[in-house]
Amino acid sequence: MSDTEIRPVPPGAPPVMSVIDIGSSGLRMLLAELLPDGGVRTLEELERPLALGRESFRTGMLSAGSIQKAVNILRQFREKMDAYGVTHVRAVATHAVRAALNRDTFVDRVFLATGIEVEVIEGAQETLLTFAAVQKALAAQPEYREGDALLFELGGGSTEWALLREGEVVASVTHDLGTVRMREAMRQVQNERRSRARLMQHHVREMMQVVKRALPFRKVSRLLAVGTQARYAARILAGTDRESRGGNGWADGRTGVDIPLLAAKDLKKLADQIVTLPPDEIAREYSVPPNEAESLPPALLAYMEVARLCSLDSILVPRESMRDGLVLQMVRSIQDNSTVLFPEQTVAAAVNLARKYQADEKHGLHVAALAREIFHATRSQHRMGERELLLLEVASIVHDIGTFVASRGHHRHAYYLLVNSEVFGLSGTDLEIVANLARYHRRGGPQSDHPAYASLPRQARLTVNRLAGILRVADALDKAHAQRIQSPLVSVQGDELRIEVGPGEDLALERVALESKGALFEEVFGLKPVIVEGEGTATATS
Amino acid sequence: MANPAKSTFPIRCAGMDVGSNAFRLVIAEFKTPTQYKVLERVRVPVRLGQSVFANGRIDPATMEAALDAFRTFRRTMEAHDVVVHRAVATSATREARNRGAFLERVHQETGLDLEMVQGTEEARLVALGVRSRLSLDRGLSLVLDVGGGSSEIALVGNGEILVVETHDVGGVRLLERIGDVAPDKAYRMIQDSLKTSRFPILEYFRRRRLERFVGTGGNIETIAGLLSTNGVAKGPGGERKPSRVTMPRLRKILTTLSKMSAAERRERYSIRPDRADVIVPAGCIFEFVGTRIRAKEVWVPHVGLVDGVLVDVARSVGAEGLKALELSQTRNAALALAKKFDIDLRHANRVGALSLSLFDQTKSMHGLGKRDRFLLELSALLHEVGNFIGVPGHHRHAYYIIAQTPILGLSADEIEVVANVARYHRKAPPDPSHEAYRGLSERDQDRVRALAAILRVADALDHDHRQRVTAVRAKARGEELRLTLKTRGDVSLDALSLKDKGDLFRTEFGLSPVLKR
Repeated sequence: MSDTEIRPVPPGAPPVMSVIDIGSSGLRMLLAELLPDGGVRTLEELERPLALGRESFRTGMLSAGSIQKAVNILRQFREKMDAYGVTHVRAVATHAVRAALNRDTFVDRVFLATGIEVEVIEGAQETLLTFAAVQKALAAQPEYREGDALLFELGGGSTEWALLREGEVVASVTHDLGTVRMREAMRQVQNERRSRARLMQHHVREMMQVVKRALPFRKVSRLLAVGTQARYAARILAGTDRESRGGNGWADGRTGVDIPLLAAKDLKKLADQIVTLPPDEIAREYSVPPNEAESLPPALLAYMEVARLCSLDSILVPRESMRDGLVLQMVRSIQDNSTVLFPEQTVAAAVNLARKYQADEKHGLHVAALAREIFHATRSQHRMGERELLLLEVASIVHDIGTFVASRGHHRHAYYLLVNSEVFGLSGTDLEIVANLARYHRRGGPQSDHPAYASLPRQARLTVNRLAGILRVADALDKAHAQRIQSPLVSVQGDELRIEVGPGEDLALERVALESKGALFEEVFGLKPVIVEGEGTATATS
Repeated sequence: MANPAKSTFPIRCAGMDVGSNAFRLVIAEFKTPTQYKVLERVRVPVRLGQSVFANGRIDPATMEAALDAFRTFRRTMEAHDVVVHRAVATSATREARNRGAFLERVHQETGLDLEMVQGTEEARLVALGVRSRLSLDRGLSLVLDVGGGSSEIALVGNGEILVVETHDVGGVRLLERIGDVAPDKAYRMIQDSLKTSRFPILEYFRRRRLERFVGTGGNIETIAGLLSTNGVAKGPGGERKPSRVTMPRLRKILTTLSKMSAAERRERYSIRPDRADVIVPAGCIFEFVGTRIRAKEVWVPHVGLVDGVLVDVARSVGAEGLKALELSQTRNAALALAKKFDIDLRHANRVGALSLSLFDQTKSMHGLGKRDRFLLELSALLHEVGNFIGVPGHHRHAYYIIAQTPILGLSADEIEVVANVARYHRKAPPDPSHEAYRGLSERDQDRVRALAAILRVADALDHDHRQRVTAVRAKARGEELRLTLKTRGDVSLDALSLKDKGDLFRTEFGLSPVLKR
């Protein structure tokens, strides 16, 4: 597309989205339009090379020169956005900026010069976005939905795994084997093919044991690898530079037609060739950036071993990137006012976690349902959105997991278990909020001299207060773990939160529990939670 | 604590139980470690629990009452020429914020040393006491001790304690939980409230048959007394004989009692005032557990924690063989923990065997004793429990889990040592900047470093979890600790990790562990 093409923006026209990705080797922008039927049409894609990664990985800083170059590129992007009349923007920076000590300077400089707010995202978020894009793309292809598939990304510091069952993500896990550790390990053995291969076999086998324990997969019918190394491998094996022509195919249903594939035997051939080569030679020979060249041989060996352990002879490399995930998330926020990517999967992951620690699943889900009622009824008081609701539901489901360690102090154990767990779809900060909620589901409420609570940002602390208030009320309403209060009518009347239940149930235990556990809610919302007996849920509207 | 000035039988021993509602003393003469005659029993009502559960502290008046009780105990023991004694303090003391000051004053003013025990140790002692009165040698028995602040359960199989569990449900605590409601409502609420508590130990009886259900503690004893028409039978020497309460009768009396106010119960049945309110919640715990395990009756041996303490003291002066039994019980407890966290047992056992072998062969370097060896064995068994929470940082998770879980037969300090050794099985070596390590006494820090150094080497030898190293010989040569291995298959990868994991051994003992080919 030429630079002069400018679209007119008629009133009531569909939203125009811009997604900017500031990566290690360049800046990319995708401009797309959201169609009334929910489809996405790509308007234009731009890519400008800039080796931010090389600098920040080596020196830990981004130089003034590089920042200036980035700003210049983003100014051009900005002009383009204005020309298209962009209505929604999201700009994210990944590893290269994340690793720079002066990343705040970078973010601020870009904002002052271009008005673009750059968000530096965590590695796990990046993976999540990619996974979301891949899942969406595959869901459109019936032939890729059958059975269990493992989707994984071999990153620098860790490998992320997700289990796709019938095309839906059902569980995920992170393992701390990444290319950095693989390279370290390689340096310890002699530069000889067999011993290197054996070493990787060992590491991968260890990883797969952990993965197998965390993900309830049966027979794996396909493996899907995303990430840099997989893309290089696919490109080298394809012999052509296909990747540059790929991109966000799901938008117009192009992907799936031919997902590039790494055949185990080709991987082996390539690995045999390069596993003993010095990195600079790999870089030259296969045009791979020098900092990535050293990771390629162990990555190839790792892919081979993963395939072997899953008894498959090839690995698929979907073309979707993080940018596609960003578009997906943006579409969702425009349509549903929610940025939650995998709500059902996140809830499913929470249920899995509760099962792992043998918590009372029925109780957890019931508390979640009650908490949801209270959340909706008090919306105008708390003004929280879908993301917070999701955190509340997750916390409700897992709040009792600490009893697995010991029933004494189980709220504190739950905190420990949660901050050290993963729940698919939740970021580190999200998990900390959930952990704090579980911590405060009983006994003393949030206090500024509790380090885990005090170290949260202010906004997160407020979220914890509000949600913990709700969680305690919901938990009290199922004090007997017997699910006696079914779909109550919850409403705010005057200075009361009325929980209207059907007649006849003996709720003495719940009332007493509410007496003490409702105090935090009352402090936070100024509403006293009370159980009132209605004539029956059907007639008792007011 | 035991003071074996004279350790020949016959010997006079005393046990003391510093509980939530009362302090108890029992003095007996032992002909052998197991045969004895009770000389005197003393019970002094000191409401330690009331003070602690309400304000978290032992208030001054209670403190004075407690000191008086200990002075009485001391005089009584002196009058009977008691040689060894042991005093254990339970949940009320454990939970008191000023317990340090309490223990110190008791020591200063009465010369008695109180030992704070964990709930699991409590359960073990209760079971020990029960066995002195009731045979638990056949089949599977459950011993339930209900106190004011907590309940202890021990599972006994063919006379050996298999698992113990402690719960923070007790008569007083349940009463607090339901608050001030009419007695008839309270009964139902307590039952509901109990249903919310998890008692994993009861799962044992899903598929297994129960031989005996045994109840201890003042509440069930009172109930047994109410139900027997002519009071509790006494045996020779004035000791009460075991009695039985059938489950239907237990339910019936609870229903009857629950319809009355505490005052009515006092009048009708002349129940002591401090018992009248807690008897229903405490009885409910027996009803709940009995129903879950499908018991027909509760055996009430009329012995308690204090009897277990007594028997335990006598054993400690007695045969060494009994010590081995205790060790196996502790091992069982650790094994149960390891299984709960789903560890690779083959790896843990191999690392354990290699650790102990290395420990024995390097004795001249570390100079540690038998008990340390035992702690090393447990650390090896438990070093990977953290994997269950998550692989990254699993050594820290192991610390957390072990430190939070009382293990039968280990003191709180020993649990800390085991937790620390497990923590240091990989990654950063012990460092004063680590809070948990810093909290150890200097002696325990030395133990942790030495044991962790050995554990790391042993762990490296089974690095790939395939048990290819079957035995190890260690010899110091110059600056090296040369390891000769007996192997099955290739071990080059294990050798690789030895380079990393031998670091602590090097700094601790000045020898680099290397493989001798």
